[in-house]
Amino acid sequence: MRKRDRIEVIHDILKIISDNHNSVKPTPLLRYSNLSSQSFTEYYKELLSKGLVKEIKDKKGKKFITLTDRGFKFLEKYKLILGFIDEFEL
Amino acid sequence: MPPMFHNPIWFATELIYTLIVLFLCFLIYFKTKEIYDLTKHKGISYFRNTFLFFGLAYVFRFIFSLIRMTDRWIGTIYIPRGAMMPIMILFTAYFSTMALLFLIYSTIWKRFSSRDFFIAANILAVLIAVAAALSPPIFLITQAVLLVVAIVLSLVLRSKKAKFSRTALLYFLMFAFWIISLILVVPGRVLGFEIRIALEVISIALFGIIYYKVSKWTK
Repeated sequence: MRKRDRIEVIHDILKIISDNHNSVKPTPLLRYSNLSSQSFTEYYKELLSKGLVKEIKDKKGKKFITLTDRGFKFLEKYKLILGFIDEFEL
Repeated sequence: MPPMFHNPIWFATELIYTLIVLFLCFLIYFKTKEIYDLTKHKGISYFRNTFLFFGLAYVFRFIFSLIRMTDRWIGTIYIPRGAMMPIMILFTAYFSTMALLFLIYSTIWKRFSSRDFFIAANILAVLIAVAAALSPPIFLITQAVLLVVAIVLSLVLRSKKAKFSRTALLYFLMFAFWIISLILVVPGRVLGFEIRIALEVISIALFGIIYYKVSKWTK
């Protein structure tokens, strides 16, 4: 199986969140993302620092991950971004 | 009062040429801001820097040509051409070398990623710039060497695909026309006016094609 590019992994994680009604717990997200625990943590920190996702807590204090406006924008523009990277061989 | 410039038509064409290229470079830079902000993709960052530095290189190339075509005296103001020209060459060479290095690196960073690229590129660009200011022919030689390096790298990296991409060809032409534009800066010495205009139009067209390709993916 081909190794996913960094940008593809980011897209896949964001897509999982979006497909789960924009609210998913960290453990299922790790499972669905097909990443090792260490890689997932790295990506997760990156997504938080880029402002693509944010953490929210429900009334019981359970942590959920949701997309930010930037996260939605990323998904919307993903094909264009990939096209741009491919076109200019970046 | 005598004319400020030796050749006003030459000045006008240089000004228009520089403004159009500068405009296209900065359009490319700002058009790609959003996708860079979203992704923080290193390749996109290097690509953007290429056009930022290219734009600045064209500005200093224009100032250099402006000094060349200006009289030593404008009214009562003395223009120290001898001191100003090496400084302009220094800046042009620095920005141009940075643009070329970023362009090369934008296509190879995945294979030859280095944390020290920015520092190494700056050191190389400063060395080339200083050498070019002291001896202007070094400027043209180093830019030509960088062009050859880019071609060799591209051919080596693409040997498996056995295909020369249109984008790579576009980059090389842009490189080549930049070097030609440096030769053209010497007024009336090398080529006739019509040929110079034709070369500048082709150069603008190359930047225009790149801008068109960029705008296609940054709607």
